[in-house]
Amino acid sequence: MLQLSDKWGPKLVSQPETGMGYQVASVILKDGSRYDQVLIESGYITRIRGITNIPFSEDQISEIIVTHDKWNFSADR
Amino acid sequence: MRQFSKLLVVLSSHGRFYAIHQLPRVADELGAKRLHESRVAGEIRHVLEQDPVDVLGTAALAEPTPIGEIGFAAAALGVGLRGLGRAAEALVGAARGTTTALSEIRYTQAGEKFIRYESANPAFSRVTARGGVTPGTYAAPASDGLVPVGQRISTYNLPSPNIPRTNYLMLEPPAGTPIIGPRTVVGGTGNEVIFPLGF
Repeated sequence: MLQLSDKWGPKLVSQPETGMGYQVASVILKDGSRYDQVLIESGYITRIRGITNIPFSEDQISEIIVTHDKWNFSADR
Repeated sequence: MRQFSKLLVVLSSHGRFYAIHQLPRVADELGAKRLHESRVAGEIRHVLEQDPVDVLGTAALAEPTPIGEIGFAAAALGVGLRGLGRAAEALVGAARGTTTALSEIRYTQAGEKFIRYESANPAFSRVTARGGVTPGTYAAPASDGLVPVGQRISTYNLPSPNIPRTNYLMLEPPAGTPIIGPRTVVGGTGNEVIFPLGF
Protein backbone atom coordinates (compact mmCIF):
# COMPACT_ATOMS: atom_id res chain seq x y z
CA MET A 1 0.00 0.00 0.00
CA LEU A 2 1.29 3.47 -0.85
CA GLN A 3 0.08 6.50 1.04
CA LEU A 4 -0.35 9.61 -1.04
CA SER A 5 0.39 12.99 0.46
CA ASP A 6 -2.36 15.52 0.91
CA LYS A 7 -1.36 17.38 -2.24
CA TRP A 8 -3.19 14.76 -4.29
CA GLY A 9 -6.42 15.30 -2.37
CA PRO A 10 -7.91 18.16 -4.40
CA LYS A 11 -7.11 16.49 -7.72
CA LEU A 12 -8.65 13.19 -6.74
CA VAL A 13 -11.63 14.64 -4.91
CA SER A 14 -12.48 16.75 -7.95
CA GLN A 15 -12.84 13.62 -10.06
CA PRO A 16 -15.82 11.26 -9.76
CA GLU A 17 -15.61 8.15 -7.67
CA THR A 18 -15.65 4.68 -9.15
CA GLY A 19 -17.47 3.36 -6.12
CA MET A 20 -18.08 4.49 -2.56
CA GLY A 21 -14.75 5.80 -1.33
CA TYR A 22 -12.54 4.58 -4.12
CA GLN A 23 -11.37 5.38 -7.61
CA VAL A 24 -9.70 3.32 -10.27
CA ALA A 25 -7.10 5.31 -12.12
CA SER A 26 -4.10 5.23 -14.40
CA VAL A 27 -0.88 6.41 -12.84
CA ILE A 28 1.73 7.95 -15.09
CA LEU A 29 5.25 8.19 -13.75
CA LYS A 30 7.78 10.90 -14.47
CA ASP A 31 9.78 8.50 -16.58
CA GLY A 32 6.76 8.04 -18.85
CA SER A 33 5.80 4.57 -17.70
CA ARG A 34 2.15 3.99 -16.99
CA TYR A 35 0.17 1.74 -14.69
CA ASP A 36 -3.49 1.18 -15.44
CA GLN A 37 -6.17 -0.14 -13.12
CA VAL A 38 -4.65 1.39 -10.03
CA LEU A 39 -6.99 1.31 -7.06
CA ILE A 40 -6.99 4.41 -4.87
CA GLU A 41 -8.86 4.50 -1.58
CA SER A 42 -8.90 7.35 0.87
CA GLY A 43 -5.51 8.61 -0.15
CA TYR A 44 -3.86 5.22 -0.45
CA ILE A 45 -2.89 3.34 -3.55
CA THR A 46 -3.96 -0.04 -2.35
CA ARG A 47 -3.65 -2.25 -5.37
CA ILE A 48 -2.70 -2.51 -9.01
CA ARG A 49 -4.41 -5.16 -10.99
CA GLY A 50 -2.05 -7.98 -11.86
CA ILE A 51 0.79 -6.69 -9.70
CA THR A 52 1.39 -7.88 -6.17
CA ASN A 53 3.08 -4.74 -4.91
CA ILE A 54 3.16 -1.03 -5.68
CA PRO A 55 6.30 -0.72 -7.78
CA PHE A 56 6.80 3.02 -7.47
CA SER A 57 6.96 5.73 -4.87
CA GLU A 58 4.93 8.88 -4.63
CA ASP A 59 7.73 11.13 -5.81
CA GLN A 60 7.86 9.17 -9.06
CA ILE A 61 4.24 9.98 -9.88
CA SER A 62 3.61 12.58 -12.54
CA GLU A 63 -0.11 12.25 -13.02
CA ILE A 64 -3.13 10.35 -11.80
CA ILE A 65 -6.04 10.01 -14.21
CA VAL A 66 -9.25 8.48 -12.92
CA THR A 67 -10.54 6.00 -15.50
CA HIS A 68 -13.13 3.94 -13.56
CA ASP A 69 -11.66 0.86 -15.21
CA LYS A 70 -12.68 -1.36 -12.33
CA TRP A 71 -12.53 -5.10 -12.09
CA ASN A 72 -13.89 -7.75 -9.78
CA PHE A 73 -12.02 -6.84 -6.62
CA SER A 74 -13.37 -9.70 -4.57
CA ALA A 75 -11.96 -12.20 -7.06
CA ASP A 76 -8.39 -11.33 -6.10
CA ARG A 77 -9.01 -10.03 -2.60
CA MET B 1 -23.60 17.87 -40.46
CA ARG B 2 -23.21 20.53 -37.85
CA GLN B 3 -20.54 20.64 -35.24
CA PHE B 4 -22.00 20.85 -31.78
CA SER B 5 -20.74 22.09 -28.49
CA LYS B 6 -23.15 20.21 -26.30
CA LEU B 7 -24.58 16.79 -26.78
CA LEU B 8 -28.09 15.86 -25.84
CA VAL B 9 -28.35 12.47 -24.28
CA VAL B 10 -31.80 11.12 -23.71
CA LEU B 11 -32.73 8.67 -21.02
CA SER B 12 -35.84 6.66 -20.74
CA SER B 13 -37.67 6.56 -17.47
CA HIS B 14 -35.99 3.22 -16.96
CA GLY B 15 -32.56 4.76 -17.12
CA ARG B 16 -31.74 3.42 -20.54
CA PHE B 17 -29.68 5.55 -22.88
CA TYR B 18 -30.79 5.85 -26.43
CA ALA B 19 -28.19 5.18 -29.07
CA ILE B 20 -26.46 8.19 -30.49
CA HIS B 21 -28.03 7.65 -33.87
CA GLN B 22 -31.45 7.82 -32.28
CA LEU B 23 -30.85 11.18 -30.69
CA PRO B 24 -32.05 13.41 -33.51
CA ARG B 25 -35.43 11.73 -33.54
CA VAL B 26 -35.80 11.63 -29.80
CA ALA B 27 -34.38 15.08 -29.24
CA ASP B 28 -36.78 16.50 -31.76
CA GLU B 29 -39.63 14.98 -29.82
CA LEU B 30 -38.34 16.42 -26.60
CA GLY B 31 -37.74 19.75 -28.22
CA ALA B 32 -41.46 20.21 -28.58
CA LYS B 33 -42.03 19.53 -24.90
CA ARG B 34 -41.34 21.47 -21.76
CA LEU B 35 -37.73 21.06 -20.83
CA HIS B 36 -35.59 22.53 -18.16
CA GLU B 37 -34.02 24.85 -20.65
CA SER B 38 -31.38 26.24 -18.38
CA ARG B 39 -29.81 22.83 -18.20
CA VAL B 40 -30.27 21.72 -21.74
CA ALA B 41 -28.30 22.81 -24.75
CA GLY B 42 -30.04 25.79 -26.24
CA GLU B 43 -30.17 24.30 -29.68
CA ILE B 44 -31.00 20.78 -30.67
CA ARG B 45 -27.96 19.52 -32.48
CA HIS B 46 -27.30 16.31 -34.25
CA VAL B 47 -24.35 13.99 -34.28
CA LEU B 48 -23.77 11.31 -36.80
CA GLU B 49 -23.47 7.84 -35.40
CA GLN B 50 -20.00 7.30 -36.68
CA ASP B 51 -18.64 10.50 -35.20
CA PRO B 52 -16.24 10.04 -32.34
CA VAL B 53 -17.18 11.91 -29.22
CA ASP B 54 -14.66 13.34 -26.89
CA VAL B 55 -14.83 13.66 -23.15
CA LEU B 56 -18.34 13.92 -21.85
CA GLY B 57 -18.79 15.99 -18.80
CA THR B 58 -21.15 15.18 -16.03
CA ALA B 59 -24.66 14.89 -17.29
CA ALA B 60 -27.05 17.61 -16.31
CA LEU B 61 -30.71 16.88 -16.09
CA ALA B 62 -33.84 18.14 -17.65
CA GLU B 63 -37.30 17.97 -16.26
CA PRO B 64 -39.13 14.69 -16.70
CA THR B 65 -41.41 14.74 -19.68
CA PRO B 66 -44.75 13.06 -19.98
CA ILE B 67 -44.14 11.54 -23.39
CA GLY B 68 -44.12 7.80 -23.36
CA GLU B 69 -41.13 6.18 -21.77
CA ILE B 70 -38.90 9.16 -22.30
CA GLY B 71 -38.42 10.43 -18.82
CA PHE B 72 -35.34 12.55 -18.71
CA ALA B 73 -32.96 14.34 -20.96
CA ALA B 74 -29.38 15.03 -20.12
CA ALA B 75 -27.13 17.61 -21.60
CA ALA B 76 -23.50 16.70 -21.37
CA LEU B 77 -21.37 19.61 -20.29
CA GLY B 78 -18.22 20.61 -22.04
CA VAL B 79 -18.51 18.14 -24.86
CA GLY B 80 -15.97 18.18 -27.63
CA LEU B 81 -15.50 16.12 -30.75
CA ARG B 82 -12.69 13.95 -32.03
CA GLY B 83 -10.89 11.44 -29.91
CA LEU B 84 -12.51 8.93 -27.67
CA GLY B 85 -12.43 9.33 -23.92
CA ARG B 86 -13.39 6.63 -21.49
CA ALA B 87 -16.39 8.59 -20.36
CA ALA B 88 -17.63 8.75 -23.89
CA GLU B 89 -16.97 5.09 -24.39
CA ALA B 90 -18.93 4.27 -21.28
CA LEU B 91 -21.81 6.43 -22.35
CA VAL B 92 -21.91 5.13 -25.88
CA GLY B 93 -21.54 1.64 -24.46
CA ALA B 94 -24.54 2.25 -22.31
CA ALA B 95 -26.39 3.55 -25.32
CA ARG B 96 -25.71 0.30 -27.07
CA GLY B 97 -26.86 -1.71 -24.11
CA THR B 98 -23.43 -3.09 -23.30
CA THR B 99 -23.32 -1.83 -19.73
CA THR B 100 -25.66 -1.21 -16.89
CA ALA B 101 -23.27 1.15 -15.14
CA LEU B 102 -25.66 4.07 -15.37
CA SER B 103 -29.09 3.85 -13.94
CA GLU B 104 -31.98 6.24 -13.64
CA ILE B 105 -31.20 9.89 -13.14
CA ARG B 106 -33.72 11.90 -11.24
CA TYR B 107 -34.07 14.79 -8.80
CA THR B 108 -34.14 14.33 -5.07
CA GLN B 109 -37.32 15.04 -3.22
CA ALA B 110 -37.55 17.24 -0.14
CA GLY B 111 -36.54 15.34 2.96
CA GLU B 112 -34.54 12.61 1.27
CA LYS B 113 -31.48 11.67 3.28
CA PHE B 114 -28.38 9.71 2.49
CA ILE B 115 -25.36 8.41 4.35
CA ARG B 116 -21.84 8.97 3.18
CA TYR B 117 -19.24 6.55 4.55
CA GLU B 118 -15.61 7.61 4.48
CA SER B 119 -12.28 6.88 6.05
CA ALA B 120 -10.86 9.31 8.56
CA ASN B 121 -8.51 11.01 6.11
CA PRO B 122 -9.81 14.57 5.78
CA ALA B 123 -7.53 15.48 2.88
CA PHE B 124 -9.39 13.03 0.71
CA SER B 125 -12.89 13.65 2.01
CA ARG B 126 -15.51 14.41 -0.61
CA VAL B 127 -17.75 16.13 1.88
CA THR B 128 -17.67 19.88 1.47
CA ALA B 129 -17.53 22.45 4.23
CA ARG B 130 -21.22 23.15 3.67
CA GLY B 131 -22.24 19.55 4.14
CA GLY B 132 -22.55 18.75 0.47
CA VAL B 133 -20.42 16.49 -1.67
CA THR B 134 -18.24 16.95 -4.71
CA PRO B 135 -19.47 15.80 -8.14
CA GLY B 136 -19.44 12.07 -8.70
CA THR B 137 -19.73 11.09 -5.05
CA TYR B 138 -21.38 7.88 -3.91
CA ALA B 139 -23.56 7.52 -0.85
CA ALA B 140 -26.18 5.16 0.53
CA PRO B 141 -29.87 5.84 1.04
CA ALA B 142 -30.56 6.56 4.68
CA SER B 143 -33.53 4.25 4.46
CA ASP B 144 -31.04 1.37 4.51
CA GLY B 145 -30.06 2.41 8.00
CA LEU B 146 -26.62 3.01 9.45
CA VAL B 147 -24.44 0.03 8.56
CA PRO B 148 -22.02 -1.00 11.32
CA VAL B 149 -18.35 -0.35 10.55
CA GLY B 150 -17.53 -4.03 10.35
CA GLN B 151 -20.18 -4.63 7.72
CA ARG B 152 -19.52 -1.69 5.43
CA ILE B 153 -16.90 -3.46 3.34
CA SER B 154 -19.18 -6.34 2.41
CA THR B 155 -22.35 -4.28 2.23
CA TYR B 156 -20.90 -1.90 -0.34
CA ASN B 157 -18.42 -4.34 -1.88
CA LEU B 158 -15.51 -2.09 -1.03
CA PRO B 159 -12.16 -3.22 -2.37
CA SER B 160 -9.90 -3.24 0.70
CA PRO B 161 -10.86 -4.56 4.12
CA ASN B 162 -7.84 -2.75 5.55
CA ILE B 163 -9.27 0.66 4.60
CA PRO B 164 -12.23 0.85 6.95
CA ARG B 165 -14.85 3.53 6.43
CA THR B 166 -15.07 4.57 10.03
CA ASN B 167 -16.72 7.93 9.49
CA TYR B 168 -20.20 8.66 8.31
CA LEU B 169 -22.15 11.78 7.53
CA MET B 170 -25.83 12.24 6.97
CA LEU B 171 -26.43 14.06 3.69
CA GLU B 172 -29.53 16.13 3.18
CA PRO B 173 -29.38 17.49 -0.35
CA PRO B 174 -31.82 20.21 -1.28
CA ALA B 175 -34.84 19.11 -3.22
CA GLY B 176 -34.08 18.96 -6.90
CA THR B 177 -30.53 17.71 -6.55
CA PRO B 178 -29.59 15.45 -9.48
CA ILE B 179 -29.07 11.89 -8.33
CA ILE B 180 -28.68 8.41 -9.75
CA GLY B 181 -30.26 5.58 -7.81
CA PRO B 182 -30.80 4.06 -5.38
CA ARG B 183 -29.59 0.92 -7.02
CA THR B 184 -28.20 -2.31 -5.68
CA VAL B 185 -24.46 -2.41 -5.15
CA VAL B 186 -23.00 -4.94 -7.55
CA GLY B 187 -21.37 -7.62 -5.45
CA GLY B 188 -22.68 -6.17 -2.22
CA THR B 189 -25.87 -6.28 -0.22
CA GLY B 190 -26.48 -2.56 0.14
CA ASN B 191 -27.84 0.16 -2.07
CA GLU B 192 -26.02 3.14 -3.46
CA VAL B 193 -26.70 6.48 -5.03
CA ILE B 194 -24.48 8.86 -6.96
CA PHE B 195 -24.59 12.63 -6.97
CA PRO B 196 -23.31 13.28 -10.49
CA LEU B 197 -23.13 17.03 -9.98
CA GLY B 198 -22.61 17.04 -6.24
CA PHE B 199 -24.50 19.61 -4.24
